[in-house]
Amino acid sequence: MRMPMKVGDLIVYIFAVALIMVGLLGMYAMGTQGGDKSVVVELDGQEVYSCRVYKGMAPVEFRVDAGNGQYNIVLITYEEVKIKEANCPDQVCVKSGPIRHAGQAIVCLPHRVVVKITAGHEETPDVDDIAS
Amino acid sequence: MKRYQRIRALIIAIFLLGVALQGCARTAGPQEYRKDIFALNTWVNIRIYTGKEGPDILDKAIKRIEEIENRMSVTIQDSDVSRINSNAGKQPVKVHDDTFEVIKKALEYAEISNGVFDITIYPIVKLWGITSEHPRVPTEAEIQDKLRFVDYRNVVLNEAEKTVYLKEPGMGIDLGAIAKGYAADEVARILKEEGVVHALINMGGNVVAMGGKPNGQPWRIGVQDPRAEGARRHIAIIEVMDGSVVSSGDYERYFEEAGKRYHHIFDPSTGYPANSGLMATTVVAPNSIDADALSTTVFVMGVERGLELVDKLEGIDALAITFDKKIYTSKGLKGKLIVTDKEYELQS
Repeated sequence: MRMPMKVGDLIVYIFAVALIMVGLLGMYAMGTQGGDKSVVVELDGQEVYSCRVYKGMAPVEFRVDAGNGQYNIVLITYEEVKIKEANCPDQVCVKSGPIRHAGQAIVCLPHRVVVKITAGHEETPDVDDIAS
Repeated sequence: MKRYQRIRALIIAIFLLGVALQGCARTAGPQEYRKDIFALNTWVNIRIYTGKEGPDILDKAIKRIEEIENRMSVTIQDSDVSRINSNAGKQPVKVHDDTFEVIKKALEYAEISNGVFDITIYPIVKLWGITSEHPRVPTEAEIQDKLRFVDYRNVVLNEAEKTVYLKEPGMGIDLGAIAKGYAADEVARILKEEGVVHALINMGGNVVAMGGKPNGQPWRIGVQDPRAEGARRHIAIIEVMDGSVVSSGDYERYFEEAGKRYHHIFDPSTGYPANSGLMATTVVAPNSIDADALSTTVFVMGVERGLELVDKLEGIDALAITFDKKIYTSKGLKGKLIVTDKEYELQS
């Protein structure tokens, strides 16, 4: 025979519902955050830094140490990403100016450094690739 | 009994939470695997959608790229190309099948373009030192002196022996305008052999799109902003299911002297950087080797001659961007180009 519900059971059920709500809310929040873009910095094909870009974020400066005193300073803001400064011989990466959309990248060939913007979870990038 | 019920409730709760989480999890199926390397003097990316054999397939592709580089690079001392060049005027050189195939294709494009596309431009490239640390503008006399060696008709192929012979001492070839396209096609071939359906290959700007996106949509390929320097930044988009998109322009490798830009695409008829009024060209073709060779050809020819040539070729399309930021397209591209940068004006 079924027992009538006790107060203790009720507490457990409320707890369970609350847990589910928190979980769903968390997933929702992650989902919307995932809609934003990420910036990935690679040195010689290996990821050395990555960060999520979101509205209201403080600007981030990341210094890539490419060995032998070679460096590139990447400036990341919500609006755009650029290489602010580098000591590469051709300065092509600095002259590149900013990138703004998922699928775009800045390449410093002499230092083998790549800075790219990737689309967030479930988001379609503006372009899948660029014929340059 | 009470305790049992509580435990049961807790189990149900955890189960429900699990279900809730599951709803957000990514659907199973082919996964994205990617590899970014520096090869062929450029940045190479390969992106494939497949099962867990992905990394092995990528390794295979990378090995092939390295093999091609070792055979076709003009800067690697014992490459086929270097051996051909150092034996110019002396003797035919036996080369690998792939090197032979690429040179043969290059000579076909030299014929089609009446010598506008010419791999024997190497003495001129070397004279300008465009890829060296210290490029310079040579004198007119120096240019004329080297221009004597530029003539694709002096490349002799022996199909049976797989040899290549440059008739005149002082001649040299450079496959820089075609080898990346070949390498991209080779990667695509390997991926197909391994059963990969959806992939995106970018060989220093030579893009090969395979099978559309995993969701069935076409790949969206950006057309490089000709003034973006080292950034991959686009001004327009072309949608491609299967095929190659390649750009060439005055922005890829250049130097400035007295305020003038000297870039790396030379006009074989003058010995100077091509000056046809274009900043860039983009070619769409089924194979990357064709798109690669033609993007250089159209760039040297200019809007009228270049697009006229492309319109005559089956299944190939192109666009050309002039200094005043106007975009001209071949017939097949009309209505298909999505211009995303409003500074650029599409001409109908």
